[in-house]
Amino acid sequence: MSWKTALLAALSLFTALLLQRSALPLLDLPGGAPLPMVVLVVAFALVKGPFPGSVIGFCAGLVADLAPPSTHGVGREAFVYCLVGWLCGKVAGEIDRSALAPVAVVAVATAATIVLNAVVGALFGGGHISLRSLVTLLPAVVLYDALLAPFIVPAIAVLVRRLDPEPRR
Amino acid sequence: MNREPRRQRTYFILLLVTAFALLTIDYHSDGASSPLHPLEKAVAGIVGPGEKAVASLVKPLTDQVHFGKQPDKVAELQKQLDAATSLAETAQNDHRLVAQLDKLMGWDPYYVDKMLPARVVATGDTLSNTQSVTIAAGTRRGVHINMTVVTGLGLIGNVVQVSAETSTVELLTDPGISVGVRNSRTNTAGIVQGGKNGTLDLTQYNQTSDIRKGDYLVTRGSDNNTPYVPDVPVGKVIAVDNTPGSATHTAVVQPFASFDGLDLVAIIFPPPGKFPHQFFIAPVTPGPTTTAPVITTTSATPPASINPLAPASGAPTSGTSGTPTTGTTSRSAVTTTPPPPTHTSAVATTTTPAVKTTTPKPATHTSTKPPVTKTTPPKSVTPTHTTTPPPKPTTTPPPPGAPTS
Repeated sequence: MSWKTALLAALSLFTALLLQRSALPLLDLPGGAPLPMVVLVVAFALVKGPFPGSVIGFCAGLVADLAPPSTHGVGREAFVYCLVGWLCGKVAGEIDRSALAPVAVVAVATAATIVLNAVVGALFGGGHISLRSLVTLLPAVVLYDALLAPFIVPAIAVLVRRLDPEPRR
Repeated sequence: MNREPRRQRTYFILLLVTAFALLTIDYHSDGASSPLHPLEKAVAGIVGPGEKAVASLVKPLTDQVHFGKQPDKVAELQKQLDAATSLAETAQNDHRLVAQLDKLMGWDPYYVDKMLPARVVATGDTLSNTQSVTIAAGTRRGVHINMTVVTGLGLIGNVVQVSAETSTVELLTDPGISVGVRNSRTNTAGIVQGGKNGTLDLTQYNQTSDIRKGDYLVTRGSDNNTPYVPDVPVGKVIAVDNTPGSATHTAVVQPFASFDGLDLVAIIFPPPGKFPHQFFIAPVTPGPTTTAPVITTTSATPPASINPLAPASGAPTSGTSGTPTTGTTSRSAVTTTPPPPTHTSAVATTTTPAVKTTTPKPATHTSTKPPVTKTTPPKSVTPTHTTTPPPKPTTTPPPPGAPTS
């Protein structure tokens, strides 16, 4: 992974963090606010593979854990994003090149992220989500992220391939 | 070729282990004492201003357009009424002057003088802790850890972390927070904690004192007013569990403040020393006509320097101005913006009986206003006036060193 890709990942994920914490919840969308960070981690993992995906996921999650207004459970989102990045990188080799496949991966990854985060949060504190709110929240957020995916995933793929022309192992 | 993926997998597992190690460290340490706290503070210094900037871009839009559900006006008004009633009942129980509250239909001007309004710039997202918010006021404006944060309706939480530009407020609904409260009817102490679905759980250790549905709770106040100043409305009891033989009484409490779509909040700056909340009715002389008592206070005049609602320093972000939403009702001091020019000073419209001449007051000083206010028409429409404090003509200077009763 070149430094250019790393820089792209850092900038895009920082922007996504700000949007996710500040702008998107303010919009008060029905169900919940989308998670553009998940879409980005999936996008990087799909184009770069499992290991870079997990590193990017870990770093993004750690910053999200530390950033306000998070107060409990530092390490929770780092764990979740790291795992999701790795798994999506593994899946990358398996899926066909259709336009819908990345959308499906993003949708599944979003659902997995929310559930995993709730489980880890229940064990270690932070991210209090009741089962009832999970039921209403999950479909909405998955839908929003799936709607974001067709824009973000190809854009990241094109940018990364341009910045980092070496073929992925 | 086979070696590389294996090594990568090792690194990946190391990352996961690191995350778990962090979780364990954080789980076993608490708040500001956590070894991760400096790191959190450093990140807050970078992310906080970013959140503030993003919010200032988005707020002008969200002020105009509601994408989601409309705020329930009736429920909001009912909550305002409840909170006001709570304050009024507290006032009666404390032998505090009810007219004092009429003045504001909400916050005592004493508190209003000590409020720093700030807008919420970030809430927890779906994954992070949704029981805390970032607000656009930090150490640069004097905010520090463990300060009381309220909305126009009542208590919402306290400050748990600060950076230069922003601070993090942990909300009342967080299960980790417990607040000492007082039942305004029975005056019994208890503790509320975050419960299910946005309600709070009240625990009361005094068995002799009952809890009833509809009881109002206010904060009891902490030592040195940190983290909670006294007499802030907290919530209303909506269900009681009076198990016979149990050592404690428990009840479910609906907080007055609404935690959905929190926007403008206020941080209370307690004056140094004791919070002079003990307004009480001075012993009324048995004069035939003057039954109305006068508010007296045992402490010195509040420092005039702290008046964050003054328009000069009041607006926390540029997006604050021009939200005409709740101008119709009371509590505008917190829920709306710096005064429109029409606001005839809140003091002038009050119906506070000015009977200072009749009270024996060598020991205390009145905190009501000078007799000039008598010239205003009494019985003006109380619930509609704005409540922004005038630039402090209200307090007469205290007799220095006067012995208090």
